[in-house]
Amino acid sequence: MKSRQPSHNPQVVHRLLHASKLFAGMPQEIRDELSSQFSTHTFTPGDVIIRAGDTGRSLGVILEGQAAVVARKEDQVFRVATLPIGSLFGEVNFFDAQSQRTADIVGVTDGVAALLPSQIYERFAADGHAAAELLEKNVLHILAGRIQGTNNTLAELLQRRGGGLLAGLARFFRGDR
Amino acid sequence: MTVTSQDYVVEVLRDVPGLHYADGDVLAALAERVELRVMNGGWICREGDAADALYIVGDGEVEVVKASAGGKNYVVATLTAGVLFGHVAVITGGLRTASVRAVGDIRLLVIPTTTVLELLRGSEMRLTSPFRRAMIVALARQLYSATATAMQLALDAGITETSEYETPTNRLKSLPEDTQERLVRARGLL
Repeated sequence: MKSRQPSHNPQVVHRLLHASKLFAGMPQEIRDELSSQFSTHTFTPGDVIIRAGDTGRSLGVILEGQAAVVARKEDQVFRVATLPIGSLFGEVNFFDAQSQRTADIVGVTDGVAALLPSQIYERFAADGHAAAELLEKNVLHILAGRIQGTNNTLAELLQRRGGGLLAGLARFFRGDR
Repeated sequence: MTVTSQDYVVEVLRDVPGLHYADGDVLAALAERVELRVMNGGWICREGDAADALYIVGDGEVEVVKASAGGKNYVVATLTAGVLFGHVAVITGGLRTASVRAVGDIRLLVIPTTTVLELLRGSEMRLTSPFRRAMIVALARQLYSATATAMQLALDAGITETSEYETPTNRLKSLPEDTQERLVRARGLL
């Protein structure tokens, strides 16, 4: 992954970030302050944006293009999800330093990702800054919406499936990663 | 049977991912909002019920039980100490998607839905931020698990990876349209 400088001026990045659900409902001054803390990075197909096991903690947003969550198990590569424009990634490790990154975030197309270092959020949270509170609430809202959709899909797929139903359910309820 | 043991509750809360950032007095303040329940077998929550609380296993084990279309119960998972469950329905406002029962003697932390929502919506950062972090981590893990399971089931239904990082668009199209749409909406699989 390369650092992005050329075609994305800060105003464009801010506009793209402000359009994401992560910034929903934030007063303008908080949007501006928060978005100025993101760095942008280009990626191409196959580029690893975040690698499993990395200790760095950042919350990412896909601004352009598409990436994928890719897990590796017994020498096999398994795509867990695809991340279109506006998708968040890195949430678990960002909010909990003790959680390990267990999957790679990999570019599927050419694209641009914006990353917020956890130190910025930690500083805001320690100061009781409204940016931290609104960020937490928006991430919760985004995750809750996604999990409802995913659960509906899961229920339908499980219903379609025969013999492996219990194994699928067991995996889901254990929260295997 | 209900007992009060704030120190025990604080120690269980401290091990919940995300909550270990909270200071002792914050954990104590959270503990005051938690009911400690001691059980010897019995149902904790039932599939299809409204979500009135989230739970954290203190000691012992609980079983997650799903009923088949024929009405037979299947144990689909066993959860052990430190595991938080029941949060998805509480946060999304949905119904319980499975039943959960105690296996023998257990101690269980119970946080009522009204308390959970107050904490999630609150602005007193010192108290509410660690709780929101814990819920974000729990939801994100559940989402990861649900998405991975859905992806595996979709693959089993006829979608296979055509190359390491290529989206299996054409194979996805073999699914019924409404399933495709929901899959796409769920995580943007196209």
